[in-house]
Amino acid sequence: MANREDVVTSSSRNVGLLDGIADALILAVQQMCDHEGLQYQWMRYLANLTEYPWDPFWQKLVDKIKTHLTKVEILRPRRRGPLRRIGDLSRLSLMKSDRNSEPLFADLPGSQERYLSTGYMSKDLDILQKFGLNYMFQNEFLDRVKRDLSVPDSKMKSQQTSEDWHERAAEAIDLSFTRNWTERIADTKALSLLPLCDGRWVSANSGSSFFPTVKNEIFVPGDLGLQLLNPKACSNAKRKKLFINLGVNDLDIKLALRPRILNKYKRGDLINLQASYAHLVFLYLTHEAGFEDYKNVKLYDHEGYSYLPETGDLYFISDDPQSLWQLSQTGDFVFEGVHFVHPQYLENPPKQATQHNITWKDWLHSLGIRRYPRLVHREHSRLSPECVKVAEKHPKRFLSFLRYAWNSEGDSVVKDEDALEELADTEVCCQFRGEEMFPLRDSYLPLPGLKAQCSRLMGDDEFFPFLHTEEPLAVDGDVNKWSFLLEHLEVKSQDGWPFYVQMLSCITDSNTQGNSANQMGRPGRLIEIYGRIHSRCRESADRRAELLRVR
Amino acid sequence: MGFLIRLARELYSKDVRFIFELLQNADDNHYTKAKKAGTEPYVSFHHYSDRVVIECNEDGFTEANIRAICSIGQSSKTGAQGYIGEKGIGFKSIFKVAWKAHIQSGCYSFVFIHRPGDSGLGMISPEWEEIPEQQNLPCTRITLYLHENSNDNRNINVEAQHNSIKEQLGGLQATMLLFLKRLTRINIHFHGDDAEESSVMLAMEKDVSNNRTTLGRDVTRDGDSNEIKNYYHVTTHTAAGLARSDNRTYSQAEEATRAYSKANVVLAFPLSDSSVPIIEQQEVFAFLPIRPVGFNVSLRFCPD
Repeated sequence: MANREDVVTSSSRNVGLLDGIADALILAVQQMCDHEGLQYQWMRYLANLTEYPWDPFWQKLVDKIKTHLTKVEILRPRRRGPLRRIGDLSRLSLMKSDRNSEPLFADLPGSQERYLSTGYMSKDLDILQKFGLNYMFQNEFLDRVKRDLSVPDSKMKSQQTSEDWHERAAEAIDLSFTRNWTERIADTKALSLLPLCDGRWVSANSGSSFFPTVKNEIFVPGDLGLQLLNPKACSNAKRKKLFINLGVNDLDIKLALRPRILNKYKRGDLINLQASYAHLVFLYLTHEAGFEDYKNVKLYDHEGYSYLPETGDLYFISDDPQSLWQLSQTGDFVFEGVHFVHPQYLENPPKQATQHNITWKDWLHSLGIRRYPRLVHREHSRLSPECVKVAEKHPKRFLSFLRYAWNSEGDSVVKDEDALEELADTEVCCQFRGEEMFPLRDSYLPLPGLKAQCSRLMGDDEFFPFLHTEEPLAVDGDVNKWSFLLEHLEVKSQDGWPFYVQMLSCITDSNTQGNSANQMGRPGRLIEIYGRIHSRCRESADRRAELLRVR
Repeated sequence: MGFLIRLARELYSKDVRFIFELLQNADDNHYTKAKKAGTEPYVSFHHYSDRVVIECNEDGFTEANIRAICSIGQSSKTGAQGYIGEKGIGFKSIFKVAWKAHIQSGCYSFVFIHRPGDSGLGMISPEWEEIPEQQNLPCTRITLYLHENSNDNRNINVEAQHNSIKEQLGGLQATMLLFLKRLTRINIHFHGDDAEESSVMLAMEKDVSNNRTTLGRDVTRDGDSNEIKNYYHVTTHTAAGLARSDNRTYSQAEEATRAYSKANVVLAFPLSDSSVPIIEQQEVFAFLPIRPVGFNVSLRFCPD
């Protein structure tokens, strides 16, 4: 007698009915997929199907349902096209999404698509995982990365793509490495994921690539024949981690980079101003105290020519009125053999280096850029052409110029007898109405005491060789500034008898020339002058008669 | 999630299975006249303290039907699709609760009488019963005269039976309609001594193109009415290639057409009125409601 109270589980008819029920269920799901809302929710009816402790009879039904479900098209893809099977589509993990929960990378075209419609709720997709729905696998993900890299509107390569996107993409791609999936690692290394400085994108397999900065802030010059990454891409830590996994290395400053740069100069490579600047900044920032071998380094002048400091004098463009630059600008002439360093080197100076205390400007000086004008000729034993030119073209400023340069260059003049003589013989500007030129060695510092004597004993129209200094001298304090003139160049500062002899001579000269012949005024003063000569002579035992001039 | 055993199951006993047998009978009938008149195929149960009256707007008994109802081994039901099983004795289950069944259909009016201890011949031999008025009922009416307390009925708990019947009738759910072929209305009326006290109206409407079915259960008591509507996605499918049932013998015609190799599977998925799935524990129906087995859909199929 059949048990009407429960289902007979052994009958073959009933077992056959299970297929019918499974088919009915699949048909129901397909009908629901035609419905706007139900197509995303039907799986709720199957929520506990796989977990429930079925008896063996009903478990057969569950197994049949599971099998049948994988064979029919019941899931809507993101592009809302025709339905696909469970195995055709994948869930999108947070890691592979951007911050708006959109996929990081576009889907493959046509029937290769895998992204699920956004109409499904996460908890409903959880149900489907028991029926074979998976999150996207890394190889499927990398297929999409590969496609993106190959299309003109690539997200990875676009300038508009956000930093946040790049960080997420890097982390997702890097999963191949963090999970140590050997085959995925090989796939990832074959993708052109490395953005180079020059705009190209290369893969990890295409030769050595390097990070474009060392010690975080120092940029590697781009003309060293090295495959450098785009610096903008390297500032993000997660991207950098991926790049490291893809084989990008750091360059060694001391062993690789500095020698490479210096070799370019040794070889005589063509280096333009930009490159020169980049080289110098790098060398400065990575300079170690004690390194001195910059002898091949050339610099550009303001006219666009490059020079070795050794072979051509280089100076900075300066505001200092005593500088050669200012002197050449205001005089509207050119100093032969003198070059001025291109302003670009100082326009955007690098920050102070951290591994030494030398300033940028000082370090450039150490390459050979001169601070003070040369007074003695480079090769020959005479005054430099610059010095001569200043004396000639800027007589009024020559003394200041001389004092300015003497700090550094005085010794070289003193050592060179011929140059010294030449300098002492140079005619310089003296104070008198216009510019009266007089040899340096015979002129006097315009000390107030001396000047007082002259104004007392000489007429306004009578010239006395007081040096034209651009600022007047106070009593004695200012002598120190000009002491070099007194010490080495025979400039006078005492009111000894030569002073008065000179006075006589000047009076004579100005009265025998021109208009006032035979009309010298105040003849009485001559008496005093002679008197003083006489007393001075007596005071000093030497130097007598030869210095008395003939009237 | 464990499954719930509905309280109704605990009260279930073979005594009241006649209700389901009668429903199945009604569903197996034809309703061409009702269709032509534009009315829905229905069956109503009228419950009185001493009797239950079942009415149904089917086409009416034919001579073949009468022979079938009188026979032991044959069924007039066409094909192996019939769900009665037990070789046509299903209708006889009424005698568990009643001693007399008066069947009126068209111009036919006859009774079957069987009291406990009777030979059983009364179950299969109808007696003509005259009725006062000339009858021409628009429907088929079956009046079951329930057992009463008497010496003959010592072994029957009449009170328990009466309660059970009332409870079963009152507890009928509209979901039954999902698995019936033709009936779309089941009405249950409870009558007191003077007037109707309460009623339960079960109705089904199908939107076949959308696979959408609406079930309504309207309970009226003392004039106050309360209707609940439930919505379902319904899928029907014919299972094929089935083996013969071990518990049945098939007629020659059935063997020839291999009608046994097919069976109807009906799945009903509960929805909200805005078509969002409702997930609850549901029963698996197998002609008779049996214990729930964890599905949250209602299944209907023909086990052995």
